[in-house]
Parts: sequence; C-alpha cells; structure tokens
Amino acid sequence: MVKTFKIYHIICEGASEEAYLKELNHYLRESGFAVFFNVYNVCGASQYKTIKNKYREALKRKKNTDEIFIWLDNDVFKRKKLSKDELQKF
Amino acid sequence: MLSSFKIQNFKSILEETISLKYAEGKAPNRYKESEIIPFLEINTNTRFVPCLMFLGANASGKSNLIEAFFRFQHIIFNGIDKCFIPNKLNYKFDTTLFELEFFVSKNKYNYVLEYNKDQIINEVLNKNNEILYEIINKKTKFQKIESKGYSKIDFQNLLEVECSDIKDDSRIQKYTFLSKVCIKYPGLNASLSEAFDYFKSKMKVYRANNVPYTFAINELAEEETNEAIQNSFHRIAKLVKKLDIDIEEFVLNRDIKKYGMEDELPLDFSSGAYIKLEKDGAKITTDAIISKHKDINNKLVDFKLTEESLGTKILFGLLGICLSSLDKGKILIIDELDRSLHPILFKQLIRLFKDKRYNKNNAQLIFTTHSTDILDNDIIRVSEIGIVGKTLKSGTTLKRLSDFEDIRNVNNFRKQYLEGRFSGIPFSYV
Repeated sequence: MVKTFKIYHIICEGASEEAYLKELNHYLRESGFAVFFNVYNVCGASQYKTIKNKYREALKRKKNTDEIFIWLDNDVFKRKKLSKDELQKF
Repeated sequence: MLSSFKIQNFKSILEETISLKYAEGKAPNRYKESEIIPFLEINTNTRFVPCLMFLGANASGKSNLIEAFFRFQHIIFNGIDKCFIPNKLNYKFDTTLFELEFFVSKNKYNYVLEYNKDQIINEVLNKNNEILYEIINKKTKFQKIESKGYSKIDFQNLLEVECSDIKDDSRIQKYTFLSKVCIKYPGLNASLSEAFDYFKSKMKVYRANNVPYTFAINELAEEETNEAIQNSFHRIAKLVKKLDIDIEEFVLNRDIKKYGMEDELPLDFSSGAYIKLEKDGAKITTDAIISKHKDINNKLVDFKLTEESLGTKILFGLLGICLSSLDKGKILIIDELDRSLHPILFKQLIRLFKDKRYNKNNAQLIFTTHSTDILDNDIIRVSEIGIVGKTLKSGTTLKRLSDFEDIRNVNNFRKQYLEGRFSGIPFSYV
C-alpha cells in the first residue's frame, strides 16, 4: 500500500515564499518523499484577520497527521497592527 | 475484458503496469440491486473495473499511456517500423516491452512483445498460463499450434519469410508472428484467432476525442446497408437529444461515390468524408447531417451539423463510438475525453459504461482527463481513479486510489486530490 502524503499547511506572505515552497515540492517529489507543502498565500494582506481566516481554512482541511505553520515577517505584521504612536513606543 | 497492460521503456514510461483489476476486496453492499456497475465479473475472484481514468499534471505522461496502447496495436498489424520510442532521459532499458493480459469469455490470454529499433526480440502468446507459441531470441516453440497439416517447419518458414526482412545477410523479425499466421492461415487455430480478433475488433484506441461523425456512424452500424446506417444515426441522435443539446431533430443524407484508379478525386472535404481504399479505386462517403432548431414562431429551421458548436460535434462522434463499444463489449481507450464537454455531460458519458441498462456486454473505458469534477460524483470508485505522476528516476508512474492507505469510497477525492494528498498535481507559481 502507498501512504497518502503528509501535508504541511504553510500560511505565508509573498511570492518568494510560495516559489520556494513549490520548488521544495518539486525536489521532494523527485526524491520520492511522501510530503507536500500546501501554500496559503496571504500576499500583501498581512493583517491579523486575513491570517486568522486562512488558519481556520487550513484547520478545516487538516488531517490528524498534518501540521500547520505560519510564516510571517514579524516587523511587518506588528507595524500594520499597531498605531503610529504605539509603533514609536515599540 | 482487459486485465492489465505492462509497459516498459516507452516515451516517458520506464516501467509501469496499468491494472484494471477490482482492488477493493469485498463487493459493495447490495450491488446486485444497484443500477451502477461496481465491477465486471468472470468469477468472484476475477473482477475488473468498467472504467479507468488517468488524472495528473500536464506533461506527466497520461497521453503516453494511451499512445502505448496505440503503438502496441499498430505493431501487431503493421510491424515495428518507426515504433521504437524509448525513454530519452533514463537509459535503464535497451528494449521496449508490452505485455497485455486479457480475457475472452473465460479464457485468460497473455501476449508479450519485446522489440528494439531493429527487430522483435521476444513474442509470446499464452492461454490459461500455457504457452501457445513462443519466439525468444530466435528460439521457437510451436507445439501447441502444430497440426497434421501445419508442422513446425511451416511456421518456421512463415517466420523467416513473411515476418522478417534481410539485414546484413541475416533475417530479422520485423512483423508479428500472430498477425501473419492469422492472416495467412485464418482457420488454423481457434485460440490464435480469438486473440487476434481481440486486438483487431475489441480494442479501440483514439488519441483525441474529436471522432469524425461519419466514422462513428459506420462504427456503430453492423452492416453498410442504408437501413443499418440510418438506424445507428438515429440511435446517436436520440441520445444527443437526451443529453439536452437544444436540437429538435436530426436528418442524415449520405452520399457514396466510387472512384476508379484513374478518376480524379475531389479535393474539398470541408464537411468531412470517409475514404475507403479498395482494390480497384476508392469509395468516398460524405454525410450531410441537418440539425433542426425551433425558431421564435415555433417553426423548424435547418442547420448543418458543421454550424453547430464544437461540443455538439464532438459529442456526436463520441456517442457513436461509445454505443458501438457498449454493443459489442469492446474496450474503448481515449485521450482527453472531456475536451469541450460540460462536466455534467462528461459524467453522463462515463455513466454509460457504469450503467447496467447500457453496459450489458462487459465494455470497458480507459481515458485521460483534467476534469476533477468527476471525482465528486458517486459513480467513480477508488479502483477506477489512476493518479499519474512523473519523476526522472522512475519515469511516469501510475497509482490507483485503491493503492493508497486509508482511502475509502466515501471520501471526498476531489478535495484531497487538489490538496496534493495523492500528488499528481502541478506545483506551479508565477
């Protein structure tokens, strides 16, 4: 019997992250690993609500063996969420 | 009934077997009462699927799987010339091998053909696990087909004269022994004829889904009489109307002209024609199909079928070959079956092969598609979905969903396939 692929659901922003993960998928397929990175791109919309919705979507699709990771630029995320005054304090 | 087809070193395929065995163990509950056929049965241990679909990314080798059938059939009748197309990226094998296992009534046949650029190296035909004849590296075994009238020497002569060409003062086998012996001695052996007839009349391979409708009508009609032709045409037209193509009526006007060897042939075949070459010339059949639509005043208006949509024309040709396969229990192998068809129509086409009312003679359908909508429907089972992938190391690979762990018929295949759980999807980005 063949194993179904283990899926890592990756919530990330930016085309470069997506390209990196797709190339990684290519490499894993050629090497015969039953692992797949499913990309949830939140490109240009790194707001808390968008990411939360994508996380919920991934959670719905997730099977027991799957894992979810969120890759975000910490500074960009914080800047969008905080006001200018708060950011200066920060 | 086709059981399996092994392909070795053909285009992107390095070594792969297409299996049509029903791989779900138990039969589904109350399957005898169901309208949908889960399997075709010879006995409880020998069951085959009526459909097999190939799904996969572009350039994964789906069409090569179909072409392998086409080349295999072509070699049987026309020899190996221009048919050696090995894998150009992986040099694991020097020769190409095809091995087909099939059943005619309850007899199991196994035909092996191995060849390289120059010659056929091995050709073996088995019936119920016993060798009927064997040609391996020029060593032959003909015991099972020998009779008082036809000795080993006759077959040896046939192999050396009819099946071979001379190269560097030695004879090399270019044509299959099976076709030459069955054409030259048609009544020699019932088993040989049975196997040859399977390849000739039961296996139908199409490398595209746009089948010319004149060809499709001829395929469905058992005879070439006007009555049989009109009959088959009306069967197709009736089914087209059932599939909700908005046409009230179809009329067929067939024109057959015979041309002698010295006559000038017409050059304009813009509306399609079926040309049959004969000993003393050619016979050209042209069909003018008129479709009638209702206008705003409820009057019928004539259209040529060539004016109809591409989907309607494709559907017309497809239904002809599908009905013909269903009538005569053929195996229909077709590339890109869903091209230009709505997913709901596409589902109905597959349903023809899965429905007890239509598939009474154990017809089988093998096709490639990019339509994932069919995975959401209840008609396709896990043994009938093949996921095609490709790697440099292994070439084109084929895994049926029934090969995967923990996959049951109740699962939502479409969602899981598009998520990448079975691989076979493109990893694309822009």
